[in-house]
Amino acid sequence: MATTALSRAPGSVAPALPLRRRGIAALGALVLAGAACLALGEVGGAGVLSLGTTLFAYVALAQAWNILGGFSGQMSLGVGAFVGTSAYAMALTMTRLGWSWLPGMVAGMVVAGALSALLALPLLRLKGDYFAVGTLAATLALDAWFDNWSFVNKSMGVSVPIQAVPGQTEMYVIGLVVALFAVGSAIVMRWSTFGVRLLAIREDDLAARLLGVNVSGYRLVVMVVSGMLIGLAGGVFALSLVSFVPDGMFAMSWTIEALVMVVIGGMGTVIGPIVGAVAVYYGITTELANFPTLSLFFEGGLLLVIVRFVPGGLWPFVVRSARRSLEWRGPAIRSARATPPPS
Amino acid sequence: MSVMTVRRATRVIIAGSLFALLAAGIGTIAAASTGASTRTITIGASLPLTGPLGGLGSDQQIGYRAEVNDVNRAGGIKIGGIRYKINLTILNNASTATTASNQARALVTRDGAIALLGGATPTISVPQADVATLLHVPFVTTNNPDDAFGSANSKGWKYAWDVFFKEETQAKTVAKWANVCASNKKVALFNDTEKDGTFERPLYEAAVKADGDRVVGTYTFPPPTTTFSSFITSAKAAGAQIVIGQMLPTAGIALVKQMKSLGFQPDVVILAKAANAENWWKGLGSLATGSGMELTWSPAAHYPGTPQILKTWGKKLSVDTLASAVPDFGAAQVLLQAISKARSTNAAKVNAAIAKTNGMFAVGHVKFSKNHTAVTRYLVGQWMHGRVVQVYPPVPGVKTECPMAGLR
Amino acid sequence: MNATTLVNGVLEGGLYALVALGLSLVFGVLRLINLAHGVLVIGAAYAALELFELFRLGPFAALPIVIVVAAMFGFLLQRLMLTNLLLKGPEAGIVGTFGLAVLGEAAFAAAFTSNGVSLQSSLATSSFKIGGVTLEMVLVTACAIAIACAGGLQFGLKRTRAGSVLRAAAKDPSTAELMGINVRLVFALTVALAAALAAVGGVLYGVSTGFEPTSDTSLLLIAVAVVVVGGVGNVTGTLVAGLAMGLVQAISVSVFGGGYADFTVYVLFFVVLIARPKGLFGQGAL
Repeated sequence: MATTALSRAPGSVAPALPLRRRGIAALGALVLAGAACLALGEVGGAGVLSLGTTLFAYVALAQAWNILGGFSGQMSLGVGAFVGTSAYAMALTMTRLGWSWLPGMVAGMVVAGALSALLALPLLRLKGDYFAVGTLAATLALDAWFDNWSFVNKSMGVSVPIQAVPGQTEMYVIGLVVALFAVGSAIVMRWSTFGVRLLAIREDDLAARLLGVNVSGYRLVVMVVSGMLIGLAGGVFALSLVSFVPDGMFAMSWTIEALVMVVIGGMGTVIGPIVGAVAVYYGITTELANFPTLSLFFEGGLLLVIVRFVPGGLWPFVVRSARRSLEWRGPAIRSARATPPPS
Repeated sequence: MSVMTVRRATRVIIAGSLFALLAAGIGTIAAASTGASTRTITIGASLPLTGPLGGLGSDQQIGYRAEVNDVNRAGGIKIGGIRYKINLTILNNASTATTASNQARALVTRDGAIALLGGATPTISVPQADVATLLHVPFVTTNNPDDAFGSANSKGWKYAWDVFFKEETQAKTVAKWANVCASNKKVALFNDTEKDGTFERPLYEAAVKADGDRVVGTYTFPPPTTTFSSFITSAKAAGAQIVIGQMLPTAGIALVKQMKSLGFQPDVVILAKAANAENWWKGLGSLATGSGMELTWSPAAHYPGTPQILKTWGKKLSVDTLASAVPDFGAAQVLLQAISKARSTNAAKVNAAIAKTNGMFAVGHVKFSKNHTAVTRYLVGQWMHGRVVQVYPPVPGVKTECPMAGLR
Repeated sequence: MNATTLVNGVLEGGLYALVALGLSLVFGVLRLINLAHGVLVIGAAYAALELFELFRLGPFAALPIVIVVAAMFGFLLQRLMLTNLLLKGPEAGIVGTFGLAVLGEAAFAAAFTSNGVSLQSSLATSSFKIGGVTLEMVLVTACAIAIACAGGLQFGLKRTRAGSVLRAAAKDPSTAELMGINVRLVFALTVALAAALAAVGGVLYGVSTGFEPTSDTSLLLIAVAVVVVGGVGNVTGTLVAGLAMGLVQAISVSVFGGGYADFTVYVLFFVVLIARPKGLFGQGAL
């Protein structure tokens, strides 16, 4: 079972390597990448620092969505629920209890994780489209609740104490750590027996159950991990936004951004969400900021092109193309290799 | 074979466009790092050019650009013997607070803006003011009622400044104007739950009470609401003859239509924010006749520079667009004057110069108070035959037309 | 809370039902949550606006043209786009229709600016009285059309040959294909019908209130809530759920204040989904 699941894993570079060693290799690469980003932050100016901070938060957000949607096959339309609760928990502990940003961020993560666990109870009974719609309903209800709840200052919103917000360099490092944490979690989930069982559940949950896998237990764990990671990203967003209102923090747009990034980069892969976050946030959102309508056209159009022609996403496509050009031995081999499905 | 070719071609196209995107990105970085010419000063503004606040944001763009063009045409700003041209970089935040905040940050850190101009309404401006505070960059905004903006930072603003009217003036002026029309003194308030709406409601309540009116209905609703029949029915049953409110344009259009449909015919209707753009008339047609509109500028108010403004723009822009764009023109004047008085682009020096502002501008007299807001006058206009006419404070030869004709 | 409030609340619910019917149909038959449904609705309103500006056609004179155009668009959409996506699994459907929604909003903003607009009609500003209750004419019309559409749809699905073909294709596409049903054609016609229904809803929505390029989101959300509460693919359920939603909203607004309009609807949506995922009235005809 392990080998079949692995060979189906998109973006797998060398299926011959044992599971754990590949995971360790990936973590090693992650550490190197993290060091490189740190160095980039050192040499880059304020522009790199602020761009990087937001980008890292989006990488974490996309990766968290990917862990739930890509690895476990549960499409969530409720990213805003966790971004919102985490940001609020952080702002409230900081303003009302006088906590600093670190415990505040941890509080946000814990509250977002707790919300996931709470929502998992009813939501995990729903399948496919209904799960997606359920997460959407929960988010909308939470948003409307916060809009009317005087404890959180209703629709007027709350803010993080501005003097408690770390400086730009610190924010960059915080963002980086959060992103590394999210990608690291994805790596651990991917290349472990846990991940293999998760794939089995995604592909055929009935079969996995018959083989003795605790399907709902696995799904619960994934949902909580994803919620906590979104909570961390939400903490970074809260720190950079400073003031926010329910309609912004529980917005549909968080889901949309995470989903667009993952689908464009490559759902169910570890690298894909990173590629997607860079392509969308850097390539479209910031580059086309002067042309908002055009950037919408780009985003929508790119989504359509990707799902229509490159359904696996950009990263698996790049890997496939690279491998094909490396292994090109003549027309016979090429046509034989052109057909296998990406994943 | 042909299918293969098509697939291959698709792949090539996709890969090609990706590389193009990447190259464009790298190109922009390179341009940003080398192209910072020595003779320009960059000022940034992230405005709601599209989305629900699109109408307000577009007028802001007109106002900001106009002032920058004026200054550049006159040779720019002189600092240390060198004349600098102003480069105004405008980004569109599509009426979203998150984007507004990110763009404000990018304008400073990536584009090298030494100061920022703000976007309309506290929803957009407050997150931008937070960024300015964090990055220590002077920030001047307008189209934000003073107290909603001033109170948004409990520790008090340091680098952020707002030039607009004060809610209390707004409430008092509107209450006075409403009483110009003979009516039964019963008021219905319609406010959305955004920052400005929440702030203005109690002030309206106090102001109309002070004028001897009675509030017979208070209705609040989330910003995207477009169905109002239960509120209208209730206000009508309570016999309200004065409707005062604050909401987004689309909501306002829906409200007036449904008032007409349900046969609710108050004498006075004034909806802040909703009626502040030309599309109020486009959306409602003659239904809008006689509805009120808040103004911070009008030709009849005779602020300094009014003849010049009318001469330059009077032919291109309608009075209602101008009424909405002039505050922005004024805010940009305040910022540029401060830079030129500071004789420096140093943030602290420019900020100190803004604090000292005291003089006449396109929006009238500007002097900042302790909470970093400068109170401008509040005028009431009325929609008549597709254009806006100032009716309060009274202008010789112009009479408020009441009851509101559009609803009858 | 008076009778006029409650009655107009129910009538507003008719408008919700009208907007939700097409979504329910596509969800029921194609198993697709069409995230571009709101764009179809708003698109129709913009089309009517354009017809007014070009030929001075009133919204109701423009309606037949808008319906035909929408149906053709829906047909082509399914043929050229959705069929392919559906074969790739449910994520592709959600992502693809979402991409369409983003494109739609961009197109409206580019063509019509992002300012709020509305369709002008004397219907929007007239009303009549029955026993002290004032009824908004446009809402009465919308509600009547919603009931007529739901009735026609229900009859068509249950009592006609085309309806049984559609139900067969919905229940088990591959078996239906084996039995000689052209499933792709049936699906394309379903989307065309859904788009036509969306167009009717859109024009009435545009007449009764104002709209802007981003209005599609809130319409889509309320429609999803109505569809789920009424039961996916359940035509009568959708109608009843729409009317009920309007009533519940009117009551909660009168009792708790305007801020609670969304709250009640979405909590109801969540609770129903958890307690009865098949909706209050079950799966229904499809």
